[in-house]
Amino acid sequence: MIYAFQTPTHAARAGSIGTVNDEPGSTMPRILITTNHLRERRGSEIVTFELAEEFADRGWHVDVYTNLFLPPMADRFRELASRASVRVAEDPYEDFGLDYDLIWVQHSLLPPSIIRRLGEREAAAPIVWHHMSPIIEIDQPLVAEIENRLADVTSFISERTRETLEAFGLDRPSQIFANPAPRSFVEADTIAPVALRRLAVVSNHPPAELREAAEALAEAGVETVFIGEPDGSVEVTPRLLAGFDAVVTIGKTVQYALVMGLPVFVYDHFGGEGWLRPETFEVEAAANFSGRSTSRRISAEALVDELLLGFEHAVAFVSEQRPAFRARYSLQRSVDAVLERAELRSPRPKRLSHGEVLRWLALSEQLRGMYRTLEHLQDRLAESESSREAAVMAAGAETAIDTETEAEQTVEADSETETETETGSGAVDGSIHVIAVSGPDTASRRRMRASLLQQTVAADLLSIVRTDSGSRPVEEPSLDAFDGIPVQVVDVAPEHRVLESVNERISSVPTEFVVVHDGYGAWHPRFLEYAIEHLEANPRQVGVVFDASRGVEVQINDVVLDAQNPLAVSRVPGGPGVVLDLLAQAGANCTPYSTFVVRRSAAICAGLFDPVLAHSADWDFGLRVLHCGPIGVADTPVPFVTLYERGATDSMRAARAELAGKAFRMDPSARLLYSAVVTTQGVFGAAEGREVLGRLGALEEELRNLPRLPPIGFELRVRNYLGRLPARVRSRVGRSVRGHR
Amino acid sequence: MSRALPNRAATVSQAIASADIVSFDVFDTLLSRAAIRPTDVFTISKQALEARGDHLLPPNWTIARIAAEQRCYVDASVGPDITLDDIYDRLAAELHLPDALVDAAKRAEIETELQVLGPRATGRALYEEARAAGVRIFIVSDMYLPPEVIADALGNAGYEGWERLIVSGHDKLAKYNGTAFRAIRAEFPDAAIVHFGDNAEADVDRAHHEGIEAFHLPTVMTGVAEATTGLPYSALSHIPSNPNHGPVELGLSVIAALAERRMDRDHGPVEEQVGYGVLGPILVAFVQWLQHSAKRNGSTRLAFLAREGALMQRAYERYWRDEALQSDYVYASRRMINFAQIRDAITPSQLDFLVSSGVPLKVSDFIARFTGDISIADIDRAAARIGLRADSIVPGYDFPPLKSVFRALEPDLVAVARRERTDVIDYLHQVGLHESGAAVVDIGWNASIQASLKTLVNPQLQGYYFGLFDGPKTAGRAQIHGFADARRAGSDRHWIEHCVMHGIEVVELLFGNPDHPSVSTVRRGEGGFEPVYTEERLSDADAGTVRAIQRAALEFVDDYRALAERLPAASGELSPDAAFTVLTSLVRNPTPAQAAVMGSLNHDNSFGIVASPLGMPLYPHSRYRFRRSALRAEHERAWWKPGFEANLRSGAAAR
Repeated sequence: MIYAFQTPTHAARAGSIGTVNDEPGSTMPRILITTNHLRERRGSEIVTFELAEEFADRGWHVDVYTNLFLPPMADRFRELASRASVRVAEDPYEDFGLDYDLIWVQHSLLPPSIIRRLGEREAAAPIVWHHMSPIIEIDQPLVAEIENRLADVTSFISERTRETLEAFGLDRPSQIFANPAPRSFVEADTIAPVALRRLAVVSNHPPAELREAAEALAEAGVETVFIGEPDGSVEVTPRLLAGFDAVVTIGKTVQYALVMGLPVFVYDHFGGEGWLRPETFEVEAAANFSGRSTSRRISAEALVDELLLGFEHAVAFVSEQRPAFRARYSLQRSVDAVLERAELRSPRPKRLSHGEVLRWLALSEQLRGMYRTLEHLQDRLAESESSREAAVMAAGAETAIDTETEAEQTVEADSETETETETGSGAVDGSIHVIAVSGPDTASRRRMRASLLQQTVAADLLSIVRTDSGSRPVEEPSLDAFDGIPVQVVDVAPEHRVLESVNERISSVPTEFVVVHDGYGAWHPRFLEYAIEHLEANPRQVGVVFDASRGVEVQINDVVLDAQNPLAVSRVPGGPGVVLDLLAQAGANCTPYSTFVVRRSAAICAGLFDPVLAHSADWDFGLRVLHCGPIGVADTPVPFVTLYERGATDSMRAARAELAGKAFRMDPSARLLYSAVVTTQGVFGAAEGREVLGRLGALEEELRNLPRLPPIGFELRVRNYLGRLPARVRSRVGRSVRGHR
Repeated sequence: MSRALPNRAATVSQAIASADIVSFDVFDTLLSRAAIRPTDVFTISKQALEARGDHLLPPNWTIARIAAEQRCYVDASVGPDITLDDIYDRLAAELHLPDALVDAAKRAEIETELQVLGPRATGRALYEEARAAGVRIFIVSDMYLPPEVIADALGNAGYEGWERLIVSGHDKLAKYNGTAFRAIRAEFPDAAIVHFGDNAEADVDRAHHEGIEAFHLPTVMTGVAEATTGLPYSALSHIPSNPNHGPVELGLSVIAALAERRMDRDHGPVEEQVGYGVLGPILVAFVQWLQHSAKRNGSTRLAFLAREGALMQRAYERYWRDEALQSDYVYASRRMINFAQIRDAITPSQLDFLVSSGVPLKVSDFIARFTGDISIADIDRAAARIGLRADSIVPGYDFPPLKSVFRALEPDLVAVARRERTDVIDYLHQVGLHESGAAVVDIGWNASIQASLKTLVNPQLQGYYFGLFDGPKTAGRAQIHGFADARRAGSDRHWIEHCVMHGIEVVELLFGNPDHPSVSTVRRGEGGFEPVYTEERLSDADAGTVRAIQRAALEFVDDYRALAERLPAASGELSPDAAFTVLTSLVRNPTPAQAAVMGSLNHDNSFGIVASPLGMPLYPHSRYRFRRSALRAEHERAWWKPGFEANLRSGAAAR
């Protein structure tokens, strides 16, 4: 989708490459900037925006390609596009050419069309490959050999980032592009502060000691203003900073302040070394003023002391160095320097092999889907939190008392499990909710009933979802009579789908575990016992899946019986005792109904079942749950589930087609829901599926073997990423997935 | 199969009369199971347990149960003299089953054993002889079941008055190693002891070794020889060693066991063995399917059409008894129904029917099949139009010019049809075919009579057939249902193509009616409607053979019904695949005895005039040594080629 395209109105400036010629009919130089996401007002988004703005100011046409484009950053780009030749595309099917005077790559992202073109023919467009973090995986050179093949210049945000990432195998000429500040900051007319009266804390995650310090500072007559997501995200502008005497921050805002002559106290959730001083400056600069150079954490009292006592020296240092900072951290000058580089003036020809194209495409698709899925889940969580709060508000007085109590309990539970994973067990009462979808025939209903009756661990609730409440054969045992198990029967209204009722049951009954029995499975008597034991022993796992043997039914005059031939056992790839691999789930449904016990919190987090899917709802559900956390594979001495599938081959084919259809059917906003894994299904189905799958496997193996990367799968790396989400989002994720009982 | 030993005593009766103690083996001597493989008990017990709705066993339960028992035998800490508890303890450990399920499964196995065990006629006779002689009776069994279960089984089978029961699992005294016999001999050193058992080694050799007289009572199946048996040898002989335990194997195992019991009490001639071992199972499977299908389709009254319907109706009513739908035997034939359907003019399809015959006939015979009112002179005139005479012989199929003859005689034929139609329709109304819920039952194969009946009396008429072909005449007809329906993929089509099509004449003869000829039409008489027969009927000899076959088949129906009443529903349903396996064994791979009996029966093609043997060479094979072309011609004419070939190999011949 293309979001903006306007004729430039600003005067162009001359550059070494892509120099603008103002004469009529001359060609406007063009730059492509790529970045994974453009949404929140955060580091990489702002770097991208400022870069786009800088080139637009120079009279260039700016193309931006991203995987995610949403407000508030989308609003800023729209505003920019209204006054410059800027367009932003997030559609992976958008056809980009290679006709650029500069390609600026961030997050190792290029549009698929360009990747394919690079595999088809040699190209000479100059490419800068920029890395903005040494630790965020998406900034790491996971495709280092491709980067070496394509990049004319490799760019790093700091010296430390360069040192860290070159270990991945980068060997191209490099530069430091240290978060330079736009012209508006550099050219801001400010005077040096004389006393510390107003202090700005610019942080999306201010640590508690800073907030404590703010109270003490207030007593000392210093007003502290917190600026960042927890306190309402606003755009950091020269005008905003000019109203303060000093700034406590890390990262990009440091350069803003420095070029404006404001003293900077480096401190945030990673800790920090405090006031920038002559003796610490270069060390901090090498770490991009991230606070991680020493990760020093101090108390609120110590913070107050340092802030008050060191202010004067800090002002002196920054005032003295301001001209140097303006030269060093000017975006305009930094871009000039980039464009002057010989490697970019005479870019080398570059081309990718077929294998590199396939691998990169697959990786790009996977990362795109996973990131968009995460973003979507965060949105859904935020929505569910809002609606839950609204429901509480709307409830009557008596209910409100109960709810308040429950809310308090939830807070306590959250507090108790603070150190647990986001998908931790939360309310650990071990309660099990079995949702049994009444099967179409007597055999499946008998099987389901017996499966439940003989469990060594009884379910706490059995919900029977049935589509026909009509009469059954008289000899058939009733489905709604189970000794010792509370039963609730739900008749699906004609206008509703079965899975809508299943979702409703999951949502409305607060148990810890949920399992859906669809009538085509038979359970070993210890199925629930093993499932709960497994999940209690593995609190980080959001669900557990069982190997299943394939039962074959023989029907004689409507009497159904087992064929009793030697059984084929469908092993979950990876084997028992491990976690389900995302790739395995991409290739086949490893979470069919009756084999998958899931934490209710994860089921809700994943968005429950998609009622529209007739053949693949369980597969789709398993994929989405997998993005909430790892799914374990039960280690059982014998298969604990038997699946009786009718027309298994056909149903698998139908499921594949349905999943691929779902991915392609979605509009961009809804596509957020979907994982790249599912999109990959389309790739499998389209052509050379085996080759793609094999190469994905090889790629994953390579990634596992890379240094500095933990030997875990993508899904866990996503979870690691989740762990670094802003506190606002993380707390929501944590609360939601821990359950509310 | 175990070996059969010559018994050393002059007579068994003398031995019993002179004995102080007579001991008997239990399984396959005094008692036999209703399944030839003991392991099928595990399958039945699983189905019985699961039918109650409270438990599920693993889908490969039988295989696991067999393996657990085998492992117990070879586990020195448990075996070799094992108990049922040993086996289930191991099953529980290997399958991680909870105690409640293990106990339930164990009880189910015991109950199933008691249900499928029954007296073996030979053993029972010897036992009664021993009782009458007043000797002491001991029971000795190498078995894992508890002694009380075996005692119950003996009691249920009418064995009373025995004095002692030695069971290897419980008492750790066994026959196979001689310890049981040694113990008896030690306790009664001077007694004259006689032992009876089915196992040559354990029951006879070991007893002799311990100084005890022993007689071998081999099972009936041990003595079955392919050359002489009427049982479906190729289908049943491998069942004991077949490792699979699906419904087909269970069905074959039950068929074999019932056949063994039947031959044990009455060996009978080959015809009866064919009837009991082949036709009986196929009848059971058919009537089970018929009842199920009729109820599912809302049929309330079944009209079994002459002539094959007679046997079907008897089997149906004997199997379902009080549960049977109302049924009638209805005179009908293609001649009667299709001809009565001709109204003002003969339609092309009716014309196709009129000129169809399985064998070459004279032109006048073609006409005479429908009416004798047209003179030879008129037929001559009509035949002259195509250059023939009334006595010209023309092929039965694919001779379109014959239609001109019928066209020329059309007014006369229409008049005859009109006269017959009134009576036929009235008769069909009398037997209720016009009623809602009415259905016809027939052998098959294109359901052409039903198409005419729908036009004549009931557009909603349903039809149930033993077999249906897949062709233009059956395609898309929702109201016809086939037990083996080639329109359905899978085993239905397989059995039509690989069984029926290779011996349709055999199947029709098995179902044939020995009691009356083919029906030409019906007429209203003083006592009601009376059938008008054609000349087509079985010869007296053939009728006697068919009667013997069908009598034994209905005996199987009774026996199977009695067994099915005791079994869970899943076990009682006889697998159609099992039934067709035994039928196919007869049709495709007959034993010499089966070929001799069936091959000599004459096939009359139902609607033809000429009858000829199904598959019997005219002469012994030596005569064809220098007459290969004659042999080829006979082979070509043979209706049932596998039978012909089997007879040729065995030397059977018509002359």
